Amino acid sequence: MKRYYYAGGARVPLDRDRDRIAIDISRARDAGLDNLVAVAASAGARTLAGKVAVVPRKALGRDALGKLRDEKALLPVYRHGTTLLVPLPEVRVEFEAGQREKTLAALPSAPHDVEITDDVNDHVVLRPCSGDGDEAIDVANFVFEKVHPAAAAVRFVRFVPRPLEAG
Amino acid sequence: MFYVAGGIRYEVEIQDQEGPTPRFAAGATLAVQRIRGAGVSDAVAKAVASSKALRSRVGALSPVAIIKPVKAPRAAAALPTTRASAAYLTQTLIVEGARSADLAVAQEEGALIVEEGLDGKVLLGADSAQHVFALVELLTARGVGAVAPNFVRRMVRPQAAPIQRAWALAKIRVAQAWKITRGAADVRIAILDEGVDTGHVALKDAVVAERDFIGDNGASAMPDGDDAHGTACAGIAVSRDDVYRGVAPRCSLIAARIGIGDGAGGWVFDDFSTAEAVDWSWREGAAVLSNSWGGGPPSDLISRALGRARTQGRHGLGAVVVIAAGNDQAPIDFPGSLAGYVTIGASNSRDERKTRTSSDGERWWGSNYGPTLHVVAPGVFIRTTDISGARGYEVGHYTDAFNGTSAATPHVAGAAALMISANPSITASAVRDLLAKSAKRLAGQTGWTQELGWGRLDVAAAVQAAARAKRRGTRKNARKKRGKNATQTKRTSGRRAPRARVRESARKSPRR
Repeated sequence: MKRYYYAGGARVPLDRDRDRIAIDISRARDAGLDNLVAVAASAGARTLAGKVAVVPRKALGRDALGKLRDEKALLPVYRHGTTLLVPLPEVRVEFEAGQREKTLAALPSAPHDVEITDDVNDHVVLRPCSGDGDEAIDVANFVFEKVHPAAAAVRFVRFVPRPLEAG
Repeated sequence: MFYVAGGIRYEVEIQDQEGPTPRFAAGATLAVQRIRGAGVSDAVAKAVASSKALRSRVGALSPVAIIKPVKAPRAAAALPTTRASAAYLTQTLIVEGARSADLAVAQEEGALIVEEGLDGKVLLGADSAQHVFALVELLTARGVGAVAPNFVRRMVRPQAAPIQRAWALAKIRVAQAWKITRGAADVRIAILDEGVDTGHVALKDAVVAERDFIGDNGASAMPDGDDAHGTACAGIAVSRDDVYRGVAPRCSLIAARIGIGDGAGGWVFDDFSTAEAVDWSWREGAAVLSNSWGGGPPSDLISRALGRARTQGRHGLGAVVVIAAGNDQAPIDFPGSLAGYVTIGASNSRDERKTRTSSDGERWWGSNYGPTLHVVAPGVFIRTTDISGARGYEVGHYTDAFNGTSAATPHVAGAAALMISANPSITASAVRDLLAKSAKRLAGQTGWTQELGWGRLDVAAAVQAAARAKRRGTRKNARKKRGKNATQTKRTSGRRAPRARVRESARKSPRR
C-alpha cells in the first residue's frame, strides 16, 4: 500500500526506501542494544545525534533487525527526492475552535491504539502505543480525514543535502 | 583510488597533462630550465623546484588529480581542476593519529617516514601515486585518525579579485540606504540555521537571544565543529565589522539552531523543532526571519508556524519571513515553495540570474525557480563572517566566498530590517510589496518571472519606499486628525495645502 500524509490539505505521497532503516537510538540503548547502534555508526549512518540513525539495511543482519523490531527501536525510512524522511511515533494535532473535543472523541476508533502525551489548549500530541512510525502516519491521516483539524502531522526527521557554502 | 576526509569518501582519477611529467629528486639540485613547455603545471613545477621543502616531499609531480566526493558534498569540498586551481598528486601521504603498529605495517608495505610534524602528523613517502593510495587504503582500514594523499594545490590568490569580492553591497546600494538608516536595535533579525558563532567579534554585540532547538546546547546557538553556514548568513544580515559589513549593522540578532550535521555530509532537521524555532523567534520579537534552509516535502507544522510569524509577529504587523529558493536550478524547495512569503533567488555581480552557465564560472549550482519566487539578491562570492579561528570556510574570522541562495536570503532579510527601522509601523505585507516594487528589473525583464521574480533587490529604493510610506501615513493621520478637529470647529481655514504638498513631495521623492 502506497503511503501518504497530508500537508496543506492535500495528500503527499511517500516512497518507502527499502534499502535503509532507521534506529531509534534512545530506545535501542534503553534495550541494551548499544552494540547495534555502534554497528550503525561504523556503517556510515546518517544520524540525528542521540536520537535517530539511518543506516543501510544490509549493514544489519536479520537477527539484529529482529531485535530492534522487538524493542520497538526500528523506524521506517521514506524518500522524497534527495531528502530522507523518518517518521517518529508522534502525531501533533493542532485545532481550530471546537475541534479538540471532536478529535478526542474520534480517537477510540483510530486504526491503532494511541496515548495522549501532551494536551494543551490548541493542540495535542498522540503516540501510537506500538512506537511504530508507520502507525503514526496512519493515525495522523485518520484524524485529518475524520476531523479536518488545522493540522494533524507526523513528526518527521528530515535528512537533506547541505546547502552550498564557500565556493 | 580513494581517500576519506570529513566523513566523505573522495574518489580520485588522474588526468593526463601535456608534456613530460617533471621529476624532482629529493635533496638534489634541479635546474628550473629543465622544465619545458608552458602552462599551469609548469608553473607548479617551478614552484616546487624553487622550494627545498616541496622538493623533499614531491618526488615526481603527478598529473592533475580529479577529485570527486562520492556522498552529497559541500561545494567547498569539491576540488576544481581548472587552470586557476588544481590539485597534483605527490608521492607522499599524511597520517594523523597512527599508532606505532600502524606505522610499522606501513613501513613493511614500503612506506618511508619523511617527516614527523606537530600533533601526531606523519608524512610518509611512497614509490608512486598508486602506492600512495594503497597505503591510504591500508591505513584507513586500520582506523587511524586520518590519512590522505599529500596534494600540491595550486590556488587562486585570495587578493586576485578584490573588486569582484566586494561587489554585493555596492550592487544593491546599501550605502545609499544607510543615509536613511543603518538599522534600529529594536528591530531583530532571526537567523534560523545550523547555529551561529554568537561570540564572533562582528556579531556578539548584536545578539539578543539564542537557542538550540536540534542539539543539546540549550540557550546557546553555537554551531558544532566547522559548521559555518549560519555564521555566514548572520554576517550578511548584521555584521558590525567595518570591512565585512552586514546590510543592517545596527539591527539585533536572534540565533536559532535548527539544523545539525548528520555525520555523512548532510543536514538533519526535525519538523517539530523547526516549527518550535519559528514560533520562538517571532515571540522573541523577531521582525524578520531569515531562512537559508529547506528541502523535502511540505510540513503543515512548519507551514503553520511560518504563517503565525507572518501574521502574528510584531504585535500583529507581521514578521517578514524570507526564505531561500534553493540551489539546484530546479523548482523551489519547501518552504520557499509556500505562497505569500519572500522567497529569494540568487544573482551574480553582472546582474545575471545565477545559473550553471552564468558568467561567474561557478558551474556546480544554479538558483531555483518557480511561482513563489519574489526577488533575487547577490549570491556569488559574498564577503561575510566565518566562524572564529581556524575552522570554518577560511582561517580567520571572515570569508570572501560564501555563496548560494543561502547568501542571497540574508541580504533581503537585512533590507527588510532596514525598511522596518525606517518605518516601524509598516506591515510585513507592505514590506513584501515594496521589495517587489523597488526591485531593479534585470536585462530584458518587463515584469515578474519565475526565474527572476520582480527583479534584483535594491536596498536603497526599498528603504526609501518604506520611509515614504511612513511620511504618507503620518500625513494621512494628520489629515484625519485635522479633519476631525475641523468638523468639531466647523473648519474655517483652508487646509488643502498639505494635500498639495503631499503630491509635490511624492513627485520629488526618489523614484527608480
